[in-house]
Amino acid sequence: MRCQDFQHRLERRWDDYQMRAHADQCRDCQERLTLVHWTRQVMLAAQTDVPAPTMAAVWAAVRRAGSASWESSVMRSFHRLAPYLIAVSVLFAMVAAFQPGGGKPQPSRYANALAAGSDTQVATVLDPDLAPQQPGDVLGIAGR
Amino acid sequence: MSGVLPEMAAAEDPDLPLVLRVQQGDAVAFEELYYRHQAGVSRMVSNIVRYPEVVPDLVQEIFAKVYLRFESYSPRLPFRPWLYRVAGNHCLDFLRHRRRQPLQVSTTLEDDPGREWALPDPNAERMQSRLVARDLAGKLLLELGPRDRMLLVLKEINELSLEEIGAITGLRLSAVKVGLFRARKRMLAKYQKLERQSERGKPQ
Repeated sequence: MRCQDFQHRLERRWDDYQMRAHADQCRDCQERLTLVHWTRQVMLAAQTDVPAPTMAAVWAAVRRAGSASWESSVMRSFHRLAPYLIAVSVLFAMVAAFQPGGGKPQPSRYANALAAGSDTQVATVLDPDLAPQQPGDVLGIAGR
Repeated sequence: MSGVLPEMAAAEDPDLPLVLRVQQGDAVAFEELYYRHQAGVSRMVSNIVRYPEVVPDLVQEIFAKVYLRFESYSPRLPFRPWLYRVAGNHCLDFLRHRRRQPLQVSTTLEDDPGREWALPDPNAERMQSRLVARDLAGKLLLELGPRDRMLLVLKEINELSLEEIGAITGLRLSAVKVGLFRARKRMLAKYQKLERQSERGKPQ
């Protein structure tokens, strides 16, 4: 028997006379056999068994994990989309800023009307209808 | 990665009919799968993690994860290695997270004066030696890294084949053999170190 075959059988928990005969002749394989048996004993001595949870507990965990995974997928989507949202917002802001007349103070309706030179009627504070209120005239109807 | 197990094995997987039913939304089939594998997964988790108080929670989370991932499961790999792979990764994640927190694990007999072996019992001596051995074995296992521990637990406690361990860990067959051998060697080295320490601590 070759050492490789011995090791192959050893890992598969075989135990036969051929293996024992080989281990008697080969020091390396003998050491390996001792090591495997020793580890097995340690592992069996260290073994702990904890009872499994009930099925109801597992279903409760499924519900919890389901909602958690939904929340995390929403967060993941948000995190994935966030750079694009920021980029789009910045783009909109830049387009608004570079529009003709953008950023400059806009003319008032009155100035517009004057510039147009039309007969557009623009209400001013000089209009008799919009005369300043007199003191004590809370409703602005004293002069009418 | 999972090429260690031939696809033929997946077709002969005894869990396959149940898995297909679960994929069609059959909750009863999932419960059957749970009862079939709960003991093995609990044994694996409790021996890798070594904190009995968290084991039921971890097992619940593992099965919940598996249930929610059934849609993505492809029967190319048999169900058990797939389940154990999810369980193994969950244990490693837990240990990684736990490592950042301070541990409070009793590993010496002196820590707990009310232990069973201290009771007046005719078999006390035998029980004591058994408990000392168990304690020492537990300590040796804890001293190993999580990956070494996982390999040894899967091989010696869950009694899985090398091929299955390969499918679970994503290692080739030769890497599984080498990994097991090194894990055993490291365990022996830890034992020898502990033994030297106790020799030095003995009164002259």
